[in-house]
Amino acid sequence: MSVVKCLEHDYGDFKIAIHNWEILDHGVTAFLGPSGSGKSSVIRHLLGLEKSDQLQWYWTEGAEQVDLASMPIRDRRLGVVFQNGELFPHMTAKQNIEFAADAAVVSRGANRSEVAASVGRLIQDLSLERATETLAVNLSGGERQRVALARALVGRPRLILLDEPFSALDAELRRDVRAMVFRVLAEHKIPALLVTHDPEDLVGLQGKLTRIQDGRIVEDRSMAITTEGGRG
Amino acid sequence: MSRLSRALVFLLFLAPYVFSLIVAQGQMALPEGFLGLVQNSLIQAALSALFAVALGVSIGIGLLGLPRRLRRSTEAAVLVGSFVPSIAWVLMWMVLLPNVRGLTAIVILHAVGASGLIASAVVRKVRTRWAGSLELAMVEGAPRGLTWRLGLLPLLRSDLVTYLLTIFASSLSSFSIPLLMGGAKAWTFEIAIHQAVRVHSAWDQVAALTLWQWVTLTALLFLSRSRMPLRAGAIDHRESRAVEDYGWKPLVLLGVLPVAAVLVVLLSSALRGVQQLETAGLLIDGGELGSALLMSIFVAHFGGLLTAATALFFALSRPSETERRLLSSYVAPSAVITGLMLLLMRAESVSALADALRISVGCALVFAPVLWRMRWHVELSTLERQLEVAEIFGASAKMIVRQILWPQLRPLFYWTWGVATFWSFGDYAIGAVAASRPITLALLSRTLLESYRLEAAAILIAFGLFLGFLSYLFFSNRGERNVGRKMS
Repeated sequence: MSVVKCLEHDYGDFKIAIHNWEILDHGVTAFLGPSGSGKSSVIRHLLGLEKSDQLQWYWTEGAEQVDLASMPIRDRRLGVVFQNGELFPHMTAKQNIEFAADAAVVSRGANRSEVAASVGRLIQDLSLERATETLAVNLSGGERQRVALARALVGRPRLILLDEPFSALDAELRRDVRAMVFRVLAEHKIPALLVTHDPEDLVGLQGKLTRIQDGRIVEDRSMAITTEGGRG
Repeated sequence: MSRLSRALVFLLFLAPYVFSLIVAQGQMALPEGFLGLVQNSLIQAALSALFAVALGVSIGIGLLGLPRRLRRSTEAAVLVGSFVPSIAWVLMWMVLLPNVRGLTAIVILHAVGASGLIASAVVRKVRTRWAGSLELAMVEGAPRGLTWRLGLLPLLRSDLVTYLLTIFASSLSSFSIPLLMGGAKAWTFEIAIHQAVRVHSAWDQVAALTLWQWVTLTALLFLSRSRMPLRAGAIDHRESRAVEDYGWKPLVLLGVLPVAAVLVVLLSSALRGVQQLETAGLLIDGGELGSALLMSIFVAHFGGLLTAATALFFALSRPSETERRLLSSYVAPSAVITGLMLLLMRAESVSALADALRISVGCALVFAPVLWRMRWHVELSTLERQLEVAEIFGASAKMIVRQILWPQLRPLFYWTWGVATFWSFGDYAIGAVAASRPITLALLSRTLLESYRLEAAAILIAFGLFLGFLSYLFFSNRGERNVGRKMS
């Protein structure tokens, strides 16, 4: 279990105030809220892209507890998938994944041969074999999100943050990509924080559900396997 | 380290101002007739800005009325006018309207020079943002005049104010056109600074005028930049018929004719000059001409390289959004002060090579902020999200520079090198101050223009610009080719 404390930020016309929030260190924590409720701002604070002086984020690893909020961005060992993938457009799909693999080796001391093997495995797991040599700008929406996921997973992050990763996809593709993403996350045993405004994204998930409204948590409970509407 | 690099770039650009304060030993005095100078400058800048925006919008409406292919080539032709160095415009004016000088000449030349960029921006904005609204207007049968008056112009208001402020600021500090077209009267602060140094050697006045100009321009440009959103909304890339219907083709002549006039005058004067060569000669020693050619090539390419390297150095040092905005708001340092600073820094070095180095450094100091504002600022903003992602994955600073920034900034680096080389080939303003004698083709041209040997000047201008254009094509293609290789 990890605990986020004292996340406060005043934007003038909008304020975020989260005093104590637990994020699972296994399975999926869903972070649900309507557009403009502050979900993405919370994510940017957790990633370290925005500063909040009081923020603490305690992560337990074995007997040790570390405060991720006090670490520089690159030392937090997090993965992220944004709405549009945010791939590096001048690289191929494979080069995008390899970039994150190299970063893990260089800055986190990951084992080079293990990381190289996991590049191949992720390409296979996410059915990207035919897209590896395609430039990121030429990938389809579904391929882009799968490459973004592979890129985020290859360094074996503590937690992967999925910021509305399916909202740019059409309904049918969305269902397929969603199923594949959660299958791969479970296989690789990497916990995820899923940010979404759409309860449909929670169908079939088990874990924890947090609802945010106007920058404040209004519901925080465990989530059983859901079949529709995100209600467990 | 990167903070130090960014501070170095800012110090470099501020150096001319600091220099003028040091030389003046902290003394400042406003020159006699300062209020008159302020009045003249404000009138000149306001008229230039108003005329440029009116002309730019009109040309934009004309371009929108053209079919796609013709529009693209015509837009490129109109843009030529905004990139051609001032010396070509001055030559055209001296040939066609030799007796018209002063405010009229300065305002018209400022306006026609800037109108191409404004027209292009208007076309892009209307096509990519409001094509859908125009389709709706077409379905509802709204007439063209009404749609522009009540629909598009109010939508463009914020952009138009930005263009007005930008042109106002650049006209206030213009030097090269008023230097040759202004006559004895100072129509800009730059000319007043030039006169304070060259005529009166009054450094206390130079310091006061420089400070006044710098504060005014930076405030104006910061205001205009802060109005501009960095991340735009959705872009519509469709080619809509409605856009064409709401343009009005004939207005495009306002942009095409002046550019055609520049090219025709330049080429015809150069041809006449070639015919006269046999009888009169250039009145320039052959050795001097050869040396000027070599020096021009060196000055232009080295100046271009320094300009591109300065912009790249700043970009790679990962400036924050505020720092990027600051540099984007920063107007180029005074050409006069920059030139004088370089001239006085090593006054004992009077060799032609020392002069050439001074002009190159001066060109880089003046062109780098302009080109940063034109493209680097926006380009770097679009890469911001990628840099955040790379950092989250743990990429080192070296990886980010080598694998993310450089491959994507490389085409812009070469483009900057090309444009700055082209401009440096045509520079006579910085060279006139920084060099102890006319060592380049542009400086020789200026000497010939001042003695009304227009045909001879045209030969040198045309030749210099031709070389500059070839260099621009070479560097632009090089940037594109590198991208192509990477992507194939």
